[in-house]
Amino acid sequence: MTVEVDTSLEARYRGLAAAAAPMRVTANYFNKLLGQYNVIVHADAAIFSGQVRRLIPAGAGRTEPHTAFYVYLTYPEASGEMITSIFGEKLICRESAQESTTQPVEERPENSTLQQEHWQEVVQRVEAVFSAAEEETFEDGMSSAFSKQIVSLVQKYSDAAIEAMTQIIMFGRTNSEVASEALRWLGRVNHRRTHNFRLWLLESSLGNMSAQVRDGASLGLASMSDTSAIPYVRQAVEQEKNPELREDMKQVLEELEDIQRATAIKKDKEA
Amino acid sequence: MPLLLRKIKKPRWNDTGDLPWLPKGSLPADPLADLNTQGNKLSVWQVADDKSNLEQILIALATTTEHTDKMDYALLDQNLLAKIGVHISQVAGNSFYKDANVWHRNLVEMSADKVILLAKTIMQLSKRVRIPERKVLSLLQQAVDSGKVNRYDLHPDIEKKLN
Repeated sequence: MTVEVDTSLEARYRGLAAAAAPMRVTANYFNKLLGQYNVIVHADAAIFSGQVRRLIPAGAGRTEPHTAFYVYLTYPEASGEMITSIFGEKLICRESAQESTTQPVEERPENSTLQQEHWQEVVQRVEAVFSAAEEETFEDGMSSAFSKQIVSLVQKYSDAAIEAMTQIIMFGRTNSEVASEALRWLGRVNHRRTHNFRLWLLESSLGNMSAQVRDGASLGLASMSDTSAIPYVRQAVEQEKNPELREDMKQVLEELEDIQRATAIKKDKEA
Repeated sequence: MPLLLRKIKKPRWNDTGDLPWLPKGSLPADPLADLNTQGNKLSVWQVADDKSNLEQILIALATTTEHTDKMDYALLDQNLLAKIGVHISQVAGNSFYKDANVWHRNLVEMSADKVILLAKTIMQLSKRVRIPERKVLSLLQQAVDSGKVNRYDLHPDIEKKLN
């Protein structure tokens, strides 16, 4: 997978402000492990205070050449790390390493007003689900109204649902148990189109302030069985100060490493 | 002396270092979610002191779930319950691993005060363990293969994951 970023990229951002506005991005890029794409960006984001640090294309499945990518940015500002998104119209995918999905999904409306209305609808739905979840008690091995709705939202709204959930989880707009449960189910849901976005959210949440959220993130990554998360989990294990959680994260790391070994052995045999 | 096993969610019991508002020695409220009583009773399982029946109990617990998942549990010395005045009653479990149901127990006559005492005891003195989902699935597979558990008693989402 190669992702090429036009260095004079003009992108529209959406996030805290409702209106679209131009943003100039100067970018370098590199390929992530095992064909995942992950781009580091230094952007002139004068609208916000701070400098854009990461650019994560989302939307696995939309990898045909010359397809615009939907990307995520994180950047530091006074109250911590903020997130917004841009639609990179000049982000070009050169080669496809993933199959496109045939799962039905609500497409984003083209018109910007309609886009905004669509986005508001998704946000309201997601926020209502998270709000109701705060009254629920979760038990391992048992489905809940919340878990069923998480799966349903991802299937219906695809990346937009993940984006809305990202903002709730990253900004701490729900309690730790609900955030943790959401991450666990984002790891379990079978939805190829959102794979990379979910993977990124789980990897990012390994650094969350709450131990419970970090636990949910590592369990979600175990469920995804995507070995490209190994460096992130390894780093999380090294940095984890909570001894019980560190041991649990080690289990996840071992599981992913076992998968990696098994995959390598299988490839060797096939070769 | 045997041990008592209670299924929990470990993160609720982990080190409370990230709760700066919590006075030292105090119990946060979240762990109480793992000690919800019904009829003032609390379901636990009795584990032999050499833990020889531990895996069978874990299988029994897994047979009652809706999907495969990791399993967290707390193990507590049964003696400690007598010290806080908690009574134990032998009541057969209702899992699909019938041979294991004999190890089920209820903690009975549980007042709110006793639940809190129990929570503090678990927080301070229990061993809390996590079994990864793949291990739980492997245990279930063994139980089905050996004929101890009928695969069609299991939830369909679990059954379809078995070989």
